[in-house]
Amino acid sequence: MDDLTFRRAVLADPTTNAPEIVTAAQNNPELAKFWLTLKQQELALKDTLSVPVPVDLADKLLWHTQAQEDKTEQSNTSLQHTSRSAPTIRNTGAGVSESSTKENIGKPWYLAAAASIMLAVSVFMINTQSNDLNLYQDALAHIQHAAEHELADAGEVTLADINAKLASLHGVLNASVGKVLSVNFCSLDGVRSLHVMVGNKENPTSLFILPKNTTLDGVPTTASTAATIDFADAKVLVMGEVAETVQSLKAQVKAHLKFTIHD
Amino acid sequence: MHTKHTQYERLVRAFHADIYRYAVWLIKDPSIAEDVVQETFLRAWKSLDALQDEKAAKAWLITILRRENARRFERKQLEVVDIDDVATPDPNATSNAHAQQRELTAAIHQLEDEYKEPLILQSLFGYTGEEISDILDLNKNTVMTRLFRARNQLKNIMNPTDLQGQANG
Repeated sequence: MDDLTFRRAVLADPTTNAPEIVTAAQNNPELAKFWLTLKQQELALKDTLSVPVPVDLADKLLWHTQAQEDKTEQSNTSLQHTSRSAPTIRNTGAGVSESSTKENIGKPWYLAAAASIMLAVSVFMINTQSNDLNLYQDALAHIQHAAEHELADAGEVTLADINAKLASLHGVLNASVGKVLSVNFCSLDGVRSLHVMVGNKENPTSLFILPKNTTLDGVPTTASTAATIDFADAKVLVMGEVAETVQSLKAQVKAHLKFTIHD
Repeated sequence: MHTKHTQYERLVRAFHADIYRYAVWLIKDPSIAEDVVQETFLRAWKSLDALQDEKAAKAWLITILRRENARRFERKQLEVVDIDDVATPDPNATSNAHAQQRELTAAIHQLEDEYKEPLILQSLFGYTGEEISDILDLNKNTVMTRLFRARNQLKNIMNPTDLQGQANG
């Protein structure tokens, strides 16, 4: 076997055990050295390719699929189910399967909010299909998921971390809006959103930064635990348990969140 | 339905890590990669009946992922991230070994997709040339040539004085 054939063969597959390759290496120390270097590179390559995987990714994927399936079911049957109580918000890990007034006692605010708005949603949906209500339900589900799966292990999130992700939306936060617990992209009713959780782990307030053409008219802001901001280049949905906190965060975001073109 | 849920959960738990890693190397931005992985598994859920042989599940998921990524480009809604902004290396990287890993990461990102993809399939997943040719819909000789060129380029990027002129092709 000539040198070039040998080199091509081991570059194509350094782990080969082909007898002619082994024999060629035994008879030529230069080729053996070349092969050894490649085998070492292969180990480093495999190590480098094995990038860390988010610890909760499998749960997140299962949850995402379940949420989409629930939405499809709800969309298909909403006109027939107006007398039914709150639609299911399920989480495969935590086993939250049904919301009711009784069960909501002592439960986190987002579950209570889910139950109460779902009642309004089901009445509302007698006459119309509302994408922005779907979006709001998705936002609640995301908050629930993040509270149960992400915040416990959340590390420090810096302004630079947020701005790195905001950059893809052409946004920048020019001052702190409080202690940030997490910042992740998510999908709300198929709309790509940047979800930022602010405050403390027990009682976080959420920001969802959305494209400017997102419709938020159906979001129940009268409850004061949800608020919206219209920027020229984006929409922002603020959600939390305490009305004052939501309004305060809304004011801070309005003052400090800028977009490159208009705001 | 219960069987479908069980089968799907098994699929997610068994392959989410490999599919995520493939996506990160293909897409570069971990956040966008995660979005595409979500869409991949959602599509897999909707088409689960089409999966006849569970042994082929990983290759099937890789095919779906590649299609989803192609759709992403077609939509042109998501921006391409600059290599320098990519956060794929270990964030705790401080030692020499980690410095080398960072260099290797940058070198892998310099490879064109046609070289990078067979390399990931072989090095990370252990697929044979034949299996890679099935997944990428290429003939085996093309796959082996691309693997050879991918490693040759990597070696030249990492050690520019070592290999120049030694293994052209």
